[in-house]
Amino acid sequence: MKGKRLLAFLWCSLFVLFGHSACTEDDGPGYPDVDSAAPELQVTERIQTEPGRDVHVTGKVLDADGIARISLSCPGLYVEKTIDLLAIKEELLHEYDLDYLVRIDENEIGELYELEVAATDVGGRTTSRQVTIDLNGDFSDPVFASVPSGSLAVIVKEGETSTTLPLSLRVTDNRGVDRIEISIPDIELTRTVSGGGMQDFSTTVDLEDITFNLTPGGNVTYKVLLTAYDLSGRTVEASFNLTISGLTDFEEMYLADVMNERDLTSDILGVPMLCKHTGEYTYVAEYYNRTANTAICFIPQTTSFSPIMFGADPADKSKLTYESPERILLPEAGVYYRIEINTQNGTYSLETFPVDEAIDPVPHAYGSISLDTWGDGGSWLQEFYFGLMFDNPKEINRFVQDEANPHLYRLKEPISFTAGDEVHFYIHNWHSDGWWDYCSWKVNKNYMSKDPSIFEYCGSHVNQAWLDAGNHTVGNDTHDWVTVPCPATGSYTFEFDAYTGWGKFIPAN
Amino acid sequence: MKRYIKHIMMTACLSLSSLWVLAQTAVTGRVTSTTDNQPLVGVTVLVQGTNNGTTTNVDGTYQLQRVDKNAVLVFSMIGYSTERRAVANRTVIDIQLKEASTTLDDVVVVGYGVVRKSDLTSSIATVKGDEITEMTTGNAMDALQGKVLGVQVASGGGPGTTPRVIIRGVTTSNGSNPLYVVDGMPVGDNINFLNNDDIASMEVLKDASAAAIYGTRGSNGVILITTKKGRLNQPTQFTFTSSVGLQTIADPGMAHASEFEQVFKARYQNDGAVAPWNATNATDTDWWNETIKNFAIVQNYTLGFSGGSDKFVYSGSLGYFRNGSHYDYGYWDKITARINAEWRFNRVVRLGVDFAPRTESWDDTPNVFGNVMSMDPTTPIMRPEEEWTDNPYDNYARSHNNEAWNPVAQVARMNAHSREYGVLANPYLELHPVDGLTLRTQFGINARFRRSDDFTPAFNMHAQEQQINNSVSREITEWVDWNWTNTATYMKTFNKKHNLNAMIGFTAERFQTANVKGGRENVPSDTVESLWELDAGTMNQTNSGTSSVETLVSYLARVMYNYDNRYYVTASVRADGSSKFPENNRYGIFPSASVAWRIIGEKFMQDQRVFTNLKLRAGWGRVGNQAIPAGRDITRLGTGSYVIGGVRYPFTTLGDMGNPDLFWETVEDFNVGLDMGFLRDRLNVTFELFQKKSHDMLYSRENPLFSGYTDYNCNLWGNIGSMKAAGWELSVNWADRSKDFTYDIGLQLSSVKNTAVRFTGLNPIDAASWHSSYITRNEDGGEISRFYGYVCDGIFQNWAEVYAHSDEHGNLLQPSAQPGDLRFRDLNNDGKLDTEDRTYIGNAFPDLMIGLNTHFTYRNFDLTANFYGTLGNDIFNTTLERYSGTGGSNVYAGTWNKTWREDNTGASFPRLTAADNNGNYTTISSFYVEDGSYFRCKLLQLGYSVPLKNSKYSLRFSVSVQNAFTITGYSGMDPERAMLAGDVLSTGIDWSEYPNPRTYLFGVDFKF
Repeated sequence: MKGKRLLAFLWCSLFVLFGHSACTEDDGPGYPDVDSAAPELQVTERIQTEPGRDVHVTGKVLDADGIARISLSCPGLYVEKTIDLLAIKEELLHEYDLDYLVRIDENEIGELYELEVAATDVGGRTTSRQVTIDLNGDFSDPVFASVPSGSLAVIVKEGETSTTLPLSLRVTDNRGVDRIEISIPDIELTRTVSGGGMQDFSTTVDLEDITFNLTPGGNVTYKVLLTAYDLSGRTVEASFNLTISGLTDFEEMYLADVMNERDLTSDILGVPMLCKHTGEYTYVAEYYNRTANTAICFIPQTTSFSPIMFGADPADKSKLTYESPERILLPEAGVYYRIEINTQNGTYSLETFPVDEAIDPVPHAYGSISLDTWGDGGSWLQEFYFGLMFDNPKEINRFVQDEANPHLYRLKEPISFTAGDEVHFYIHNWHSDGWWDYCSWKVNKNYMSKDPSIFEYCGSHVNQAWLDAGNHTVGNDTHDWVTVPCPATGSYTFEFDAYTGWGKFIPAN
Repeated sequence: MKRYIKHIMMTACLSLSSLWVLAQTAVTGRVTSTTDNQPLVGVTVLVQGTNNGTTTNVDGTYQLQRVDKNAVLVFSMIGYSTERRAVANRTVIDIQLKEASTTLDDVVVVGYGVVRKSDLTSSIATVKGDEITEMTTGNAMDALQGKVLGVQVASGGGPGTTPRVIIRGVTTSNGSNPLYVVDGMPVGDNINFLNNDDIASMEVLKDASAAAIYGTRGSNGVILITTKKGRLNQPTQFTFTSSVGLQTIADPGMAHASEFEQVFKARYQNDGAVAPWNATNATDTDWWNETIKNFAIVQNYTLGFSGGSDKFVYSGSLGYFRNGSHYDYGYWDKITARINAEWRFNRVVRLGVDFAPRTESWDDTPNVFGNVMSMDPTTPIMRPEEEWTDNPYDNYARSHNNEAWNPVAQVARMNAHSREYGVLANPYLELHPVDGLTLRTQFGINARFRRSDDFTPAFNMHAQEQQINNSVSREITEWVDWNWTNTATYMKTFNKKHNLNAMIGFTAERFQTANVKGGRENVPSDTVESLWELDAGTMNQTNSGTSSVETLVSYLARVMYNYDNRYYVTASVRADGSSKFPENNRYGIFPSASVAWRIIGEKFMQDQRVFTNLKLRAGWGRVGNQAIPAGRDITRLGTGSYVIGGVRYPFTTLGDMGNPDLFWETVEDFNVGLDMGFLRDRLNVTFELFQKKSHDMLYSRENPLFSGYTDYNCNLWGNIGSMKAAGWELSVNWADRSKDFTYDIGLQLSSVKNTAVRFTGLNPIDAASWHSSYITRNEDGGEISRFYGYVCDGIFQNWAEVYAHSDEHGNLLQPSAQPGDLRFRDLNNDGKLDTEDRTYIGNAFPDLMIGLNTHFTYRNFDLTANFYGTLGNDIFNTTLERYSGTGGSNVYAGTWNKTWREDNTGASFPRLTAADNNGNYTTISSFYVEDGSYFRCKLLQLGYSVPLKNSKYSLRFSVSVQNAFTITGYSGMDPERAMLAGDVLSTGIDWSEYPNPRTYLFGVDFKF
């Protein structure tokens, strides 16, 4: 018996002394060496990219003993990562496909970085490789930041056979714009404009010698192709239709109250305000003039003042013209203007009326305790206010009422959006329990593509005086939420005129 | 010769008897109480081993004739420790008896009877009245903390609040408070109405073998309260006790204007945005000092008397207690009176009554700590005078930079007053027709009537802080409960060794509530109080009212038997019928049994000198719980609304789904205890093990699909759950004296684990909603009220750490994180941070509860120091959010230096951000979990008894501090307040409740 105990003791001692010696590192027992060799590490040795463009460090790790971890280190690019395969994988891996995302900040100024990849096996043996990350690449196409979209119209006089198209173009590129090529294949017209290697290149080009053969009352349409090249030869293309005709009865006409063409696209909803097309060549707009001598004009396109802009005739400022017009000035501040233009007769008229005479559909005094919470005649009244609603009536981005013009509202707190965000909302009152459409404004689906900045009243409760004023109806299923992309990252505020229904979603600063 | 011999014989006898008489003596003396030096009347003085004895008279004196000079005198009296003194040739023996709070001969009240403590077979703890009145509190339970093993008490904080009491853990989600029984009358779960000075003793029935006699309502334990009674043959004695004190609460230390502005702006600047800072009329307002008073006054006065003849005993009191609040508004006071009297007409008939009328009144104490701490310090209290209107409530300033309501204005608008009248009356008749048999009938009434008036003035400070119309309301509620208890008790000792105590009884109880409330708006004046009447309101009249009646009928029986004071058996059964349950399930039966072996009484223990007491106890029992809303067996209709196009269409639908098969929930309890006394009972040790497990726990489960309804109203109550509480208790008490110095030290240790055996068998029960999630999770098989969330792994110190917190392919686990944000751990290593990574991050209930009670006397001085503490409990400290400035709220002072910045990377708190895209403060995580262990000096009291020539008088002065100091690592305002805050399933969360104040008291006790 004693002999058996002694034998067992010896076996145990031997196991303790030698049984664990096969494992030589601190990755724990249970991983006996197979070939005692360091891992085999294959990685892409050089990766080219550019600031703002993330890269993937890829490669393969092989180890017969089993891979414990892979470390990536590049302090300059804030990479200090250990992929602990023993912790995250259910079984010991002998082969591993490395694919690790390395973020490159868009403001990164470095050009070359060395990233060290190290693979360690369960025996503690490590193999390292260097990966060079070169930030001198160009992987970004140039971008047309401002370009005519859809179609442009040029008005010509009878007998003319050629015309000039003034084009405002803006192209951006992270490396620099090399050139812009403009062509009209139908008439084999090509023009090249040098970008001068600028990262933000704006130009106005008079595209001359556009020839046509116009029949009386007819028109000619050409497709205009635009191709921008950056310094690396990367390109971007755009196109629009150019219609050449005599003066036409434009379907849409917009009022613009900004001077700088770039400002036309700064509004998420688009700056110009769609006018009412009240008859042939006749358009009417109502506009609250906050400051004296506001300069306005009328344009049938939305993103540019060219090719057509109607304004005051420099020779006779009581007349309307599209030939080298001046802005029409609205001299009186704090009143509403009713502006009617006739593009065919070349006339326009300005009529003012005070704020008090404007009637909007808002059913109660804003901010008063007048919201009939239960819709039962007022057993419980809550505060009535409205604002932008992105989700439900319990969560309203509240408006503040303008002190001078009670029809005018603006957001209490700005809202931040990122470029490309889908901005999806309509104007709605707050309700403690989320009841819908007590007081709301949506956009008419028919006008959504033409101008999403014109809101029409859709609330179930309405100011009777507004209805009595005539020609007013409450919107219905033909109206919908606004859904537009945000053009640029930033903080925005919203201004809304409950009388005209015009909303502006403009940068806050 | 015969005559001569007879003479001689007589002479010899006379001589012998003379010799014997010469060996005897007369002994006189005086017996007084160690407590107050007052004479004790009715103390039995017996020559040991003889029938020679007497009792002390009204002066506490006695005289015994023919006492052998070598005899031993035994002084005994119920309620006092028995003392023995050798005569040793003395003729005068004065002695002091000690009130026997711990002696084995003490009488302990059990349900429907009393027993000697040495005969106890269950786990019952006794606290004497003078231990309760050591502290000045509105509710006697506040004074109990740390004095009774296994009893957790969390004070309610403000004036008039009710403490939360848990006895030996939690076994149900339907309330945790015990049942209180005052002089045999069950009074529910709140004893605020009682004058602490009226309490003679409290017995805590901790295990089911003791509480089963209370059947359906004993599952959370029972606390029996006996009020003070007079004594037979005791001259009238008056007592006057008083204490006046100041309560203070600690200033949490909020930021001043400059730091607030700095933090406010940084939150936006760190997000790349411009702070919407409003600097209009900026000032630096300390809202804590402007709203919270430095101290609140607490005062307590009681005038009492007691006495008795051989036929009539009586006692009474008149008391006044008032607790002010720390706001300019709010208080609670009560005026209590009590008359307890018993007539002993003859040996058979006794008639008694306990009659206790009272009135309570209070102004609702505001609870605006949140706004006080959030309010913008750059905002002045009042608007500029040029903006003032005629309505004074309009003239307070609106917060400039956040949405917090002006707390000074809130307090100024408070007008909520209640007054309650009540009476607790317990007349009883007791018959003793034959030796050992007691028939008793008692009819108790507990009636309350409360009127609450509320007025809210109209005010218009801002569109978001206004009330257009003032409003007035009045609510009247009455509660009338009665209880008829009839018992027959037979006590007899057979053959000197068979001791029997048998009891049978019948009780009937009725609980009735009625309530009516009316309200109107737009009374003519906000300031003329006489116009704040309903009739003066002109708009929006509302009214409501309801009533309810519940009844309970019970049959009970108990047998207590012991053989030779060594072997004890107790068995009881109670059958309860409750109107809360459907007809087919109205009755429940609750049995119990317990045994004890008084080992010290065995012969083999006679010669040992280690133990002076040794007893082993074991008990089992079942108790019930019916604490669910009434009518849960009935399916009821309710109303709802559809909204179509903004128009509301009311409809009628299923409101509650009833379960006609509901029945009692039952708690089954096992208890084993060992009582030990050493060194002539100077050292007493008790150790107990227990387990309580509920069966058929009543629980409202989520809508069962078979109902065919999807509405949340279709939750269904059922007997579906089970919870378990298991733990141990250890009590070590040492008491001794040395000449003029006496002292006793008691250490109480206990531990209990509360486990959910089963709730619904479906999903875990999440509770305590916060930031669109839940703080606690209660899972079948796990401990209850554990905090459930993400594990916070520190703060990202740089971008490398942010990027490294990714999956194996570099995809970020927290894509919105930046340096300075919190890092949450991917526990399951699946490369994404989602709800699967949540885990248990804290436990609300402590591992160990500690009570340390000490009392020292030296000559006329006495010192009491009581401590209580817990170890191993966590607190989810929501107040840490005050380091974030969320919503523009004010922050703790020092936030700027405690929050992470690139130049302050060692900070404890994450970076300041308005957007908090990473969810630093909106994620339920271990960031909020702190160790809630604490050790608090509950009472420090120094007393001085003035030596008076007339021993019939006594005068004692005392100074004391309640909640004198706390040793804790917890950063919130009060770890004790937070420890048991919330309900059973969401305990241990600090919501900034009214903290326990520190109270400085001066007291005078005068007896005459």
